[in-house]
Amino acid sequence: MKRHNSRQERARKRTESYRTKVCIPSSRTIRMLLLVIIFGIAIMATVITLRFYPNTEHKSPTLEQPETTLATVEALKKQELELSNQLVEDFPRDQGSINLLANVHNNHGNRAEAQKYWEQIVLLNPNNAAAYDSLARIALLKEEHAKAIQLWKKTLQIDPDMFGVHFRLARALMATGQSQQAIVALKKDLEISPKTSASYYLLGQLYLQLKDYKQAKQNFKAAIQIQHNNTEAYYGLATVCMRLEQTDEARKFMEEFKKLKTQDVRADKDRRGAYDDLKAIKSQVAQTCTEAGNIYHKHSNTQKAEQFWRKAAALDTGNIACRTNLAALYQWNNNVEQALEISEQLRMLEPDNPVRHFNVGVLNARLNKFEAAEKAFQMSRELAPQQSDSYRMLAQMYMETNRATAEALALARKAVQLEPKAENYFVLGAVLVKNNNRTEALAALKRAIELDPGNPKYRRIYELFQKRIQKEN
Amino acid sequence: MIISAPDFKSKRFLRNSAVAGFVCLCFLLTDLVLASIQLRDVTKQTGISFVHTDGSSGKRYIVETVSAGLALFDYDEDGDIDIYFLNGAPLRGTTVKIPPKNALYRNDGGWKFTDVTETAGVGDPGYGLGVAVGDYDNDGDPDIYLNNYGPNVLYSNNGDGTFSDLTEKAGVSNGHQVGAGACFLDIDKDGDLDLYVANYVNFTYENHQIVRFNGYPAYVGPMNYYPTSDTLYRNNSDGTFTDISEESGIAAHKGTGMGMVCADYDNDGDTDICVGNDVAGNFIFENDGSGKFEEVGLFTGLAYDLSGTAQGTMGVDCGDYNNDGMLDFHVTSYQRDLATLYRNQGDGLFEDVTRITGAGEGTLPHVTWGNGLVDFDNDGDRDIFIACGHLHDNVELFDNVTSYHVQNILLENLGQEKFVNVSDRCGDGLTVKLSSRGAGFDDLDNDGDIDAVILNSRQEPTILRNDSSGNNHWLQIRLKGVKSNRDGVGAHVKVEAGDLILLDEVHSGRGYQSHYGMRLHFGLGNRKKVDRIEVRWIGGGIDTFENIEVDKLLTINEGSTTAQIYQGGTGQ
Repeated sequence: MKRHNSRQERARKRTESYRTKVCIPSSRTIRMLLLVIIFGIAIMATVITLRFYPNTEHKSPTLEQPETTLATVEALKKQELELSNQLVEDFPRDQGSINLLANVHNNHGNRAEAQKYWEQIVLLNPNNAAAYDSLARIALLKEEHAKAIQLWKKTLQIDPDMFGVHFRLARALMATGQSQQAIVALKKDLEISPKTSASYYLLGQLYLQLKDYKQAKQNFKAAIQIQHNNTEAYYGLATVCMRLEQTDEARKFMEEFKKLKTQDVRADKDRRGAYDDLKAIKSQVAQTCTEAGNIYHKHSNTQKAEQFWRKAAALDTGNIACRTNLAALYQWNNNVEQALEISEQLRMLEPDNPVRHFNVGVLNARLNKFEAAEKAFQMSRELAPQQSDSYRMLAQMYMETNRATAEALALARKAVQLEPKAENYFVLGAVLVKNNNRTEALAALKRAIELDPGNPKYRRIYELFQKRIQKEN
Repeated sequence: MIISAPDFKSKRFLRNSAVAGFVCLCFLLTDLVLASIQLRDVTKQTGISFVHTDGSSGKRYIVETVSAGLALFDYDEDGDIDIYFLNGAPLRGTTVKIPPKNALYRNDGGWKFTDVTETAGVGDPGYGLGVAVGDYDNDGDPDIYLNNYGPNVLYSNNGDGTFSDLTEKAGVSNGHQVGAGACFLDIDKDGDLDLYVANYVNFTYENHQIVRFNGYPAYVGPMNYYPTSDTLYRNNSDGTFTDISEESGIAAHKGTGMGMVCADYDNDGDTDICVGNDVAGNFIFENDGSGKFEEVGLFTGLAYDLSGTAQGTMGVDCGDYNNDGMLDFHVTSYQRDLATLYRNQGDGLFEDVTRITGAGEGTLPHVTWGNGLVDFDNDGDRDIFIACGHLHDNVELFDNVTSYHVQNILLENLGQEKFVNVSDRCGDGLTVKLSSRGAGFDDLDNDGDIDAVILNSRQEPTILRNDSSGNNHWLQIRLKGVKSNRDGVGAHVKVEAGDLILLDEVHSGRGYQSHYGMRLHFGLGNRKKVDRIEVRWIGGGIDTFENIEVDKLLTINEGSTTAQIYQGGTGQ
């Protein structure tokens, strides 16, 4: 028993010793630890709050930075006006420059000034249909229907097939109750652009007003066939069916109208919520700069053209036109690096456009960046499998870099199969030469010459290869 | 043969004759060139010193743009029409020394008006938007309901030239909403006036937004806020009302209510409700006769314009413009929308006839507000007056096709369903260029033709005296209900004079958030006698009268067999 007790005693002492070694903290230590923990929690809470729950008190976005935004917008508009005025000064008889200035005034809400410049254009050139069209649009805004009609009729005298003019004329005629004339104008519009849902819709309106309900219904239906979400056409159908006492059909169309209207309202709300005036102005000024660049380029001032296109690109990250122009300019100037930089931007903006990838491929190839070029051509081929250019370029690249010879040949053959044009035959011929397939190579090169007899390169290569064969023979 | 030269005296005679003849010719030509309707600006001579404020301070709260309506009614029952102007109030960020308030001007006759606001006790300092007038307690005098931004107000007429604020007792304050038009109407034909209150949008200071166009600050539109439902109160006949918005079917529809008018558009003997919604389909609530309503705007064709587009509807008025015995509707709208005329087809459907009648002429570049289908020249058909003025006070900076201050528009009804814009030749009254809002039309001088009062935003009003020439005859009728509500609101009156058959209805609240015209006016052209008057009271009773003299103001009591010539007031 005594031995047992001493064992117990030893166990007890061991436990105590263990506890001592594990270090049960003193009360002071516990207090310190608690303070540290609490302090730490407080800091974390503060950080989390500030990071994820900022001050949500409503502030009108414009009130936060009104002065800066307004100053920027004003500066941009001033620049836009200045550059347009300068353009007209530089090219006073260029209708494009005067038109640009008129558009700038119009965009600024200064319709009177815009009108003045369009009138200047028609004085310079009485056959400028676009200027008459612009003048007519201003007249319509001022509710000068008779004047608008006269101007559109003049526009059509100059250019009878000008896109959209018959439609706009029809609207003005409708506004003055000239229904029959409006019908004629719309039918003409449909001859020019048969897939215009809006024209069928307006015809439906006119026939509805003339109480020709059968024709009205027909035209509203045609409008919907072209544009399935033509909200107003459904309204027209519902109205016509009500007049025809086709109540069930009316209800059906009305339901569809209500559904589409709800979507329209939502979309409109989203658009309004997303409207950013500064962004809109930048985009507008970028467009003006692009067009200014085009005019300078037309007059062989490529330096100024490049300056304006670059400005446009800086203002608007989504402006494709200025970038397309810059890419072309840099390629033409053999400024491959810069051309590539711009082409990459275009590729980002239009990732589903095979031409963008193709151009990146070509430029990378010129810079001997073959891996990047290969990827770009492959992407272009994926997006446009029926177009031969990517196949051809890949074949050429593989041939020139002595890679994947068999694949190069397959690609070259595919290119010819898709589009039997001269350059495809030429590359096929070149690949066949590389493969020492003399007969086929000669035939392919000969075909290239037949298709493009004015191309000296094809003839030279053909003759060189012929000589080589003769020499070897 | 010697021809002797005329002597000096003969020359002078000839010269004077020529001058006189020339002057006569000028007058003759002027008479031909001027329109038959002449409206003269007599504001300055009236003594009216009211100046409207929208309570703004540059923050561009949406409510600033939609203030306000006005009321024309005989508050003291002395026989002439008085004027009640609504006013804005200081909004957040605005400080004023003297708080603005609504103003009541008593018509003293002779185009003189006295400010009796304080005496009457109707100087509400709230943010005034819409107003309706009606004898809700059937005690024989007109009461006023104000639809404000903020709590609404019901002023009960004490009958002694003063009013008492009985809003809380009546239970019609409608919470804290952005108000719009309001109408008294008898929804259930029980003989008392119920109350429809339109609400605009769910704007608050906290959800306030502005937008920029071309860098310039501008007001947002109603699409930037959520729509709200309107409120319908049933009169309990004991001075109180009950909110029946839910059970009536009204609350199920959310809109952006602005001007409104209540009228029996389908001629089935009960009053329906037409509410203009801003950039949304207009509502027409068809009454089933018991105070339950079904919204049928879309099916009737009144919701949208001809092309199915929702307009920025502002004012709504009704009247039979083509004398076919059915009430037509006219709505005003935003810039680039035509003010629209809807013809009642008679089968519960309406047709937008704006373009084919010319009823929208001149309105496209402007924002249009107060409106009235009114026979200004007493030729037997209703002309259209349209109050205009942009809501962006800086619009010229980003669109100079239009302007903040513009002229109002008058379209003369030529008959044969055609209108012509005569604004430029109907007197100096239409040359005033301000930013107009509410408009009211009544015979302020009791001379048998209809005058006009226009409330202008941030400015003094415009008072137009009708000086139209011609010898056309007229008839005015005021109704006094007995079993029906005292004002006869909702009653149809048909006047037959020879080949002319005219229809009108008594409304309380109409146009752009305003009230006018409870004294029905009929232009009779050259007809010298009224063959028959038929009054169809709300509730079913019909009274007829025959062989009535023209050029009179009559009082017709419900159930009576004779129409009495109204003797009250001055200016006869």
